[in-house]
Amino acid sequence: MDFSNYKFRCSSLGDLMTSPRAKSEKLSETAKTKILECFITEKYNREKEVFSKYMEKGILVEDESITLLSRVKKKLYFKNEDRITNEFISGTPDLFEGETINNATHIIDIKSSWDIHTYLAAKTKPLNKDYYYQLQGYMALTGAGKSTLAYCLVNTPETLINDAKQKLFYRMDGVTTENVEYKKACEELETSMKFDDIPMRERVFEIEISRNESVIEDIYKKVEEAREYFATLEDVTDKYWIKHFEKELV
Amino acid sequence: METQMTVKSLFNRDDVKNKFQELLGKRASSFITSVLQIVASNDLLSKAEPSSIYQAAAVAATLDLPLNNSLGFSYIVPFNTKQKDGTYKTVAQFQLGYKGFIQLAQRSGQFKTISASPIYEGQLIEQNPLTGFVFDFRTRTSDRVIGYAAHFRLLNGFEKTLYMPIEDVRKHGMKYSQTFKKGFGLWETDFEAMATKTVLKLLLSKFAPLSIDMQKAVITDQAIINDSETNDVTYVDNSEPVINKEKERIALMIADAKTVEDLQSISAHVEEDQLDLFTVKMDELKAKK
Repeated sequence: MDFSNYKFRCSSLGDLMTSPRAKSEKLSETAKTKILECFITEKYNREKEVFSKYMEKGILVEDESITLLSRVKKKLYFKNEDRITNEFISGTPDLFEGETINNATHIIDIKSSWDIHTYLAAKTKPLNKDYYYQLQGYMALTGAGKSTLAYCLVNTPETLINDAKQKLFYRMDGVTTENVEYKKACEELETSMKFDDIPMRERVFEIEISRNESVIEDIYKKVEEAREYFATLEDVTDKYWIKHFEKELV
Repeated sequence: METQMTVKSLFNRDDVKNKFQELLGKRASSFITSVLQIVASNDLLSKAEPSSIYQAAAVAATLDLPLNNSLGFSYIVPFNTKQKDGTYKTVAQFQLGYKGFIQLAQRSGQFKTISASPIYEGQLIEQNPLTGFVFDFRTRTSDRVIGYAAHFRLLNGFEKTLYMPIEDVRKHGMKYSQTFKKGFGLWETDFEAMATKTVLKLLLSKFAPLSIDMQKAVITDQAIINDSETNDVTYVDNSEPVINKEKERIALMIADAKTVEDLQSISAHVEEDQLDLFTVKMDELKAKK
């Protein structure tokens, strides 16, 4: 298989850009793991299953988050569905400002927080590097000079709340749904997953990330190194006998 | 009156009479009379498409379940369904009562016992997702209904119970019945019967061996019958309204607008059916200026 033109998704750039332990190495172990996942997807048509309730909420409430952002900023946004590619990377930015996605001036990526704890943690703690590189990638693709991460706190969908209640029920061994403690626990669960009592203005914030040409160049260089690594993967995965001294000890 | 005459004339046709004769024999004529009486006594149903009434009646006749509302075996209820061109048409929907399900189960000859009942406060002792439910009907502490349960035991010894808390039954009704959402219909006028049927139908469809008639009953319940012989049905009652989230966003922003400029910024995206909302808001904001 030819990986010489393989384009990495912006969402995977964070892993690719991690620094290797040894200066002599071009790629970190994290980067190599990510490249292996991409290799498996391409060659064997099997995606690595990464799924969590946090991701599920993010997917289910995307529209609600965009609505919240639009209402607070008094600016009507619509989800972008176009996937954009260049020679090295590809991506589908959530929102943009500008005439078209291909000459956007500002890219916005929505992050729907699980609850108020994760929402405020995002506000107070350092920026997640994966998101930083993701947005640099989007700016490279669209020509935008500015990007923001928009963190939104919206209600958890009923299906996820019901799943959580079900799990709670199983944990509270021997109760019925009429049990006073179970009912109280359900009420607390709902409170932790719904936020209508918090003003809209307090449920969204943005982190601005400026375009950095040197970082974008680094991304492209890393993609080229990753493409070289693909070729070695093909070689290794085709082997039947692997001598122990060909493998590093962990 | 015109539609009622049309229903009457439809049921007067020889081919229709022969159909019911085939299904019910000597009871065909009294069955047809009961259908016509039901239509005559219900304003909405009297406006329903006659062929849909015929198909629903044919299913009831095939299952040999009386359509008398007070007996509770099966019903024909009117339903307003939206057409592709946006207009509404009234059609007849076939519905089984819980007594109808019990009757069919008994007739299948496979059931030793089958029953359904409201559960009162104090009667639910244990609820285990794997091993089932334990009730004690001597320990009722109040008249408050907390849920509904259905149970069957087959002749081969297999038995199963299903319990649904009342809130879950209500949510089921709201999800699957447009009339309940709007505050009328069988769910509103006879909640206990509909709740009992719900839990019984779910129990049977999930765990019981279904005879041909019971399969037909499950398929045709709460459906518009397109063809009673082939079980070609359309489920309209449980179609969840598809919310256009982008339209909803625009509507919310119209409502949120505090200035004329706020409204003008979204004016290019306002859809035709939102124009009234937009105009009213614009007038309100201009008046405040």
